[in-house]
Amino acid sequence: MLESLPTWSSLPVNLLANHSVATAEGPSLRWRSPRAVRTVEKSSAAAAKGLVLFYISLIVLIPLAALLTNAFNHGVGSFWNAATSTESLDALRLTVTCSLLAAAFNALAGTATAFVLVRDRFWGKSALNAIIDLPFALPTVVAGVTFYTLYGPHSPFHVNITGSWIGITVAIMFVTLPFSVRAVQPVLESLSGDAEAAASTLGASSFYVFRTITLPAILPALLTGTGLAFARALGEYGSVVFISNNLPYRSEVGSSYIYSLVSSGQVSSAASVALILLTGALLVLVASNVIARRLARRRG
Amino acid sequence: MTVSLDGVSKSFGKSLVLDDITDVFADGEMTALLGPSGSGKSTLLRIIAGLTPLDSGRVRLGERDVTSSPARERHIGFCFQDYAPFRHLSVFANVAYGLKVQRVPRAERKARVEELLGLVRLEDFADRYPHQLSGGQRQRMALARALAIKPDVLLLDEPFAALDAQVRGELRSWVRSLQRELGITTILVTHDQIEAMEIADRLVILNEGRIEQTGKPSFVYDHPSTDFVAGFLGPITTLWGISYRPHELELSLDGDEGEKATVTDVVRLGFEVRVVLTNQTGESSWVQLTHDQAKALNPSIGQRYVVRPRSARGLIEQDPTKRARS
Repeated sequence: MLESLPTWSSLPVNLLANHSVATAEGPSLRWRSPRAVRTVEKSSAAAAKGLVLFYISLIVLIPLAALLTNAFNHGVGSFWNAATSTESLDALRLTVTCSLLAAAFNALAGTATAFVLVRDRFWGKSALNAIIDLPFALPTVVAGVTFYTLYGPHSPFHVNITGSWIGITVAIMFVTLPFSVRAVQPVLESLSGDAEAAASTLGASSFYVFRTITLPAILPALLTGTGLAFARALGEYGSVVFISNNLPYRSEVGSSYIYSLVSSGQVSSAASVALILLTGALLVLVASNVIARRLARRRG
Repeated sequence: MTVSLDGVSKSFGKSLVLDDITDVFADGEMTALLGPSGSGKSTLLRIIAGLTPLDSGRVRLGERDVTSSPARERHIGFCFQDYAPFRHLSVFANVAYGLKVQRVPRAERKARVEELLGLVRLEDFADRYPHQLSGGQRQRMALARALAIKPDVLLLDEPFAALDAQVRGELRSWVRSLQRELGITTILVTHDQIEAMEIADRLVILNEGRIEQTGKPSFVYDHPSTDFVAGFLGPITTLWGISYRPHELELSLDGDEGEKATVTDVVRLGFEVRVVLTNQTGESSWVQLTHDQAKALNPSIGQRYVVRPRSARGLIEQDPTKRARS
């Protein structure tokens, strides 16, 4: 497989060749037979494939392999011990619970937000639309500090949710809100509203129309968005680290447990816990995609 | 059930879409709302269904004033231009939807849906999904779904626009006979004058948000009250400044009454032949000949004829107020 791909050094040449064919005006190219042009196109398509594979390897596959190697550095037994230690299990349980809560809440709030953005007209709508992406743009640590200031021990509202699952969930909710909104929004925009109108002429109340017509239409996108939000939430660190207080067995999430393990030199244990989180995230992503696709396939 | 509109007006932003529409749709009648795009016909249909709110005026179904009733309380069947199928539901479930809303018991529901699917000839497609149907089948499904609630009135928004010519013709006559059989008051929106004249008992011709004329298709065709209606329903040509249907003019080789003119073009369309003539002052008219008439006359470019109307009456009654308006 790898031998058939062009080498990195041959890439720029091929890409350039393709470019001059596309703008074929230079006299040097006129004599080229169609077959020669096709060969150039074929080899540059292969080059593009190679480039993508190279990039994915560098960014994703190699670090993953390193993680796997690290996790099983001292054998399967020590991997299992590290992953299932009481502190690890408590951290993982807390992470999963808070992520589930945040993803579920965002599925509701995100859908509502998408509805308002698509179906309502009001002053400042485009501003609101832009603000939705803020959690993506804002460094998560900044969000963390903000939440700590607002809902920490010196809260101006006298609301202290530090060190509790509530604080962690709120922080995660903030960070993952865009996933649900941005997943549902385009689907809502593509609905003409005629199906909903048809349902209402058949006697259905607005809630019944939403439950039986609108919700099934947005469900695949909503599932995908929620899956993404959940997967992202599992690894969230910056926004959670301040508000959680990081008390082992009580308010320590997976990512900060991993961080503390690395800090104390236990890289292999850290990799083991990380591998569990990663596997969980992957499973959720695959599952939500499979279900969403199955739902979508029925309607062509 | 009759549908009465009384002074219905509607604006979208600054543009007036419907301007003081007053009309009565008789019980059991098939009416076509006919007009060019942007004439407000679809908006009027949606207002009758309660899908679009009106600015002023009243809508009555029989004796009942439904002006402020929501769509779900009007008991009106509505077929959308794109059929608006419930894509995640089977054909059976689509048709059953309205019955489910009414909480019709399962066994009765099943019987009713099967009866309706038979009526629209989709018995074998009950388990399919809308995307597995052809355009015509989807249209029939939408019709069955609308008829399931036994509506008092049936509204069809450009029901045949998205179909290819052959299916369109078949469905048109089928819908017509179904409507007669059920005797349901039906209002159909179309921009196709042939479709409107073929299917409707009565035409309501809309232009720029106003009713131009209403009446039986054959009457409106022969007695259009405005230039707009005349031109919209069929071809027109002029002779001595008066509008005529091109088939109302006749050609002869000689004669005193009539205008002497020279043939400048002959268009043969198989079943009809169009002869374009220009008189000495440069005014041109065109005459529509049947296949047989053309055979007898055998017109060719450069030939001279006398053009005259079969009847002295022009197409449009000269009414200065109406002419000024359009």
